[in-house]
Amino acid sequence: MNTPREKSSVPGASDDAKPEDIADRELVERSKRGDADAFRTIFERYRRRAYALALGIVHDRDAALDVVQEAFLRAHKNLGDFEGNASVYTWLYRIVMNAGIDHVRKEKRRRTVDYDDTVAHMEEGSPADVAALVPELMRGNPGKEIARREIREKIDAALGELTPNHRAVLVMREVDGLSYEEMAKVMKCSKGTIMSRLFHARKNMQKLLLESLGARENGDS
Amino acid sequence: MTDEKLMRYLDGELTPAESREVERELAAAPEMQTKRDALLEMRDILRARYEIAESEAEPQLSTMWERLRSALPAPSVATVKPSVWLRLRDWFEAYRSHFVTGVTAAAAGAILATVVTSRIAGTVAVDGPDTSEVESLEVLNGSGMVFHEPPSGKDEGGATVIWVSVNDPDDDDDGSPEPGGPI
Repeated sequence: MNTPREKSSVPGASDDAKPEDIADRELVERSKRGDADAFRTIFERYRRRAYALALGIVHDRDAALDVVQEAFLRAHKNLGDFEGNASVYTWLYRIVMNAGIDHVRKEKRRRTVDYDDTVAHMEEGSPADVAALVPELMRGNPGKEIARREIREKIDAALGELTPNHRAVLVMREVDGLSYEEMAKVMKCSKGTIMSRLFHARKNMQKLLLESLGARENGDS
Repeated sequence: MTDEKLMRYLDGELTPAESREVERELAAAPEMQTKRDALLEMRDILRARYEIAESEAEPQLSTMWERLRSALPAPSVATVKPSVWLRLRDWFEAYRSHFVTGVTAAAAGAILATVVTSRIAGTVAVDGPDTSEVESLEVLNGSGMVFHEPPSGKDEGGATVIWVSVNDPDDDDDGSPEPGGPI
């Protein structure tokens, strides 16, 4: 199993200030005073993660790059809004999230309607629950399997069926390892909403993977 | 156990006690173990997929800074309201040379004042020349004699001859007083 991103560079669930958080804040303070090198360090440190989140939201490579650039421009413009006790990555992720959502709205690329996010709709035995039973789709070695182009395309197609919010929570939780509380800050919503989005995102992603990769497995056997 | 609780467990969002309870339930429920494995596998798939996506975008990301740099406005210091401490520090940085000059001048002034003060104090502290009280004064034909009391601590007094002359351009005499002095 892959490990989440290093906690030394990406933030854990604790609110305690870590040395890297303090270093990040110092970089922001220097950037506020016009230190371009400090802002460049922030960019270098977070560009890949910002890209992953942007890609999760817009689901388009070129658009994601545009979103990353726009997000860092906004971040620079709004350095003064950064609160000293906040985490830089949470602040930055929120900007990426907003830029991504703005892009989606602008381009009208949203292809599906958001699911009802209320937890009350998490019914056991619903069709989505069946998708939870998708063991060993990747034969226990996702890294190797995903190297195959056709597998990536199927995964991308499945991701493309999700809403931007669902892809975003999957990236933040599964790829970056953010806590529910951190995700709630990024998405400006309650932890309950995050749990609901994550629940539905996982269920739907599993269902979609089962439909695409499961069919492949059956075809292979 | 609900799927939601299983997810919260996998996400590390349960208390230690709740986590132990889930682990006990998992051990006794093979169907939940299957769900857990499926969720973990999906996590691995997503991580692997996005890692590849990040690597694929690296060439564009690595050159993005130059575009960003040119698009960034001038330092947004004017729009920022730094803390009092930062403003103080910036102010000090801006006037550092003034501070150095000021401190040096102050130090030099202090040293000078110390030296002068000590000298004045020394002058006052040193005993002045012996002074004598004039006992009597006799003046005769351009000269005078002053008799004075002995200074304190001395047994004998003395007398001083004073030559008084008036410079007259018509006088052949050059006006120089005759040699004389204390007797």
